[in-house]
Order: sequence, then C-alpha cells, then structure tokens
Amino acid sequence: MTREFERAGLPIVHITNLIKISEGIGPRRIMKGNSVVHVLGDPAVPCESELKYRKRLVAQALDMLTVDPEEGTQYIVDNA
Amino acid sequence: MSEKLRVVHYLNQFYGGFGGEDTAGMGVTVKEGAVGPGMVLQAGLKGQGQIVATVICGDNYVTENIETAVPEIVKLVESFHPDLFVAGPGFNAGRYGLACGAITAAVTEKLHIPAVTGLYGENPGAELYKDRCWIVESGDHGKYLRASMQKMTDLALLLAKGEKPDASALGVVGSGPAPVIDYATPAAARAVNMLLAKFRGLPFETEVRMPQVEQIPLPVLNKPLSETKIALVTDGGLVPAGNPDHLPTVNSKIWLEYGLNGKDRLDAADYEVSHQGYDNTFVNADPNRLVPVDALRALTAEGKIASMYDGYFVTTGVRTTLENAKKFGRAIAEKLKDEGVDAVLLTST
Repeated sequence: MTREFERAGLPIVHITNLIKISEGIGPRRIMKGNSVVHVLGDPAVPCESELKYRKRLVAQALDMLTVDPEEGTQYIVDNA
Repeated sequence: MSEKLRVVHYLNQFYGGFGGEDTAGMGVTVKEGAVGPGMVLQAGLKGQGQIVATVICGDNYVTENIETAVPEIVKLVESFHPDLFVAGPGFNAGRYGLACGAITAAVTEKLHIPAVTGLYGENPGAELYKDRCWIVESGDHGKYLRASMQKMTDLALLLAKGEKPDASALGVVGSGPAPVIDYATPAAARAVNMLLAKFRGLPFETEVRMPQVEQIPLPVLNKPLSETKIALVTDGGLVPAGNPDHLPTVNSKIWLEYGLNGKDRLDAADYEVSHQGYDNTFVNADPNRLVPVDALRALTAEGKIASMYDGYFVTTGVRTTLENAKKFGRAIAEKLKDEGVDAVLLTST
C-alpha cells in the first residue's frame, strides 16, 4: 500500500517493527515501531508515560515527512 | 559407502511444539533429532541424511532483533558441523518467512554449506531473500507440507552432491544465492568470457544481480508541517467493536474507513482487532497503540500539524495478496487526495 501512496504523490511514513520487509518493498520513509504487537505502545510503563512515549514517536514520524532522502535511498529511523 | 549427511533443521516456536503467539518471543533453543515437520524432512532424505539437531526460536525474537538473533542462530547451527541446512517451510507466515529467509541466507553466506528453505512466493521473506539463498515454492498452507518438503529435500540432496540445480524445474522462487565467484580467474577474463558466451548464445550467469525495487518519484510536502492535514492508515485490522463490516482476520479483500467524530482518543471498549497474524492483546487493551489517535490529536492541538483527517483507514495485512494491497493503496490514496490530505502515517504490525 505504501508504494501506491507514494505513486499518488502522498508522502508517507511506514511505522512498523519489521523494517526489513518495508525496506524490501521500498517506501522512502520508514520508522521502526516498538514491537510487532504494540507498534506505538509500551505496556511496561504507566498510561501517562505511554502517551508521552507515543507522542514522541508520532512527532518523530511527522518530522520524517519533512526529510527528503536522496534518490535511491530510504530514510529509516530506528529509535524505539 | 559415503557417510550420511549431517542435517540441521530450523523451526519456529509453533512448529517446534512450544505454542503459538504466546511463545513468539521465546529465544533460541535446540532439540535433538527431528521435531514436528522434521519427521517429514527426515523421511524425504531417503536415508542419505540424518537430522542431528533442530534449532527452534520464537518468530518475534528473531524478527524484532534480526541483526543479533540471526548470527546467534547461525553460530549455533555451525556448532553441529552440518553438511546441510533446512529451514521451515514457512508457507505464507510473515515473520516466520522472514526468519527462514534471513537464517537460510546467513547460513549460505557464512557457513558455505547447501541451505534450503520453502516459502510461498508472495511471502515477504521470499521477496527479500530469494536472491540470497535457495527458496522453494511451498504453497501458502500447511497442507502442502509433504509436497513442499519433497521439493526441498530433492533440491537439498542435489546441492549436497555439488550439482547445479535447474531452478525453474525444481520450483525455486527467485534465482537462489549469488554464484560463487572464481577469483582465481581475473575479473577482466571472467567478464570477457561472459560476453563471448552471451554473443554465442551460450548460457552464462551474471555475478552481480541488481535489486528490482520499482523507481517511484519521491513524494515531498509542499507546505510546512504545521500547515498539513495528516491521515492515519493501518493494516493491523482495528475495527469498531462487533466488526460490523466483517473485516476478515486474514487475506482481506476489502479496506474500510471509520469516522472518528472528533474524538480525542480511541476507547478500548469501542474497538477490537480482526487480524490473526499477531497477538491482539495489547492493541485490544489500548487501540491507540496501533492507530495513534490520542497522540496525533494532542500534537494537532499543539500546532505540530494543522489538522487530522477525522477518520482512519484499515485493512488486515496478514496473507493479503500483493495485488489486493496495491488496489487498496490506490483507492485509499485517491480518497485521501480528494479530501485534501497532505501526508499519511501507516502503522503495521
């Protein structure tokens, strides 16, 4: 799906834990999420901290939309 | 009388007999001899090989830490001094397929022994590793175990004899591992020989295979982030409680859109997950972990972006065909453009 969004001219950040798969498919902006089962969550921390954590990750993903990777490269952020 | 080949088999936690999603996080372990589908492999070796060990690991453990888990597993495989390595088959399981592909490629490249796995052609693991190791087309369902294991062992035994396999005849996905290059012959000589062979219509094998990712122009924002409208899309199968539109748990042929009605966050009571490819517990407990409405709303209020599309788009990404995924992407993209959305965050499990 990510490639079709790009083909339509829509910048997209793919947030996934399995970045290898995403790298193979080819979208240009990929962010590594926390885990397969809670990609933007951290059940180990209390709710309030979790929302802060999620905001940080989502804000980072949004910032990635403003970065334009060089031709032939993918911009991959692994931060979780 | 030649000795029996020493074979090491790799399985995930499910085929290794440890459990399902509940044990997907388990680390590497070993069982002596053949386990589960290994019995079929043992039979397929027709007395020419012996499974000395079965290495078993959780799908999440491997795929979430692929840079460290794969070398750990390869080291363990090496300790058994195998003549042959087999992984899976993984059929169409996403994480297992990734693990089978990654481990088989690593064993091929680091241990230089014949290594074979079996995957469904469209499995992402097959797409990624089909040019780095031998992957036999296994079909997309466990019922093809016997048939695919037979093809895998036929190929494995051929490779063990040092023969060059006919990839298409054996149902190999992709082209198999890169050819071993004879560096004793200088590159210039090899290149000229290749060119002469091509000129004469004789078979030749390229040494360098270019990756096949389609070139699409990079989409860029045409305004500052603070002026954008952002939409959320997911393939994690999140739907309103009761799944009113019957999103399937696997191999979806549909995508859906659900309005958010200005809500600040997703309430666990109002949603559920229809996706059998991952443990849904954490997302069921807090759907914002998959579709981050709470975070994005808060960031909108803070001015990070101008607005959030007041809905989200969903499908189920497990065993969903590439063709359908492309169709969904095109349809959703069109809708988003009509609605003046500037960019997308797509969350996957």
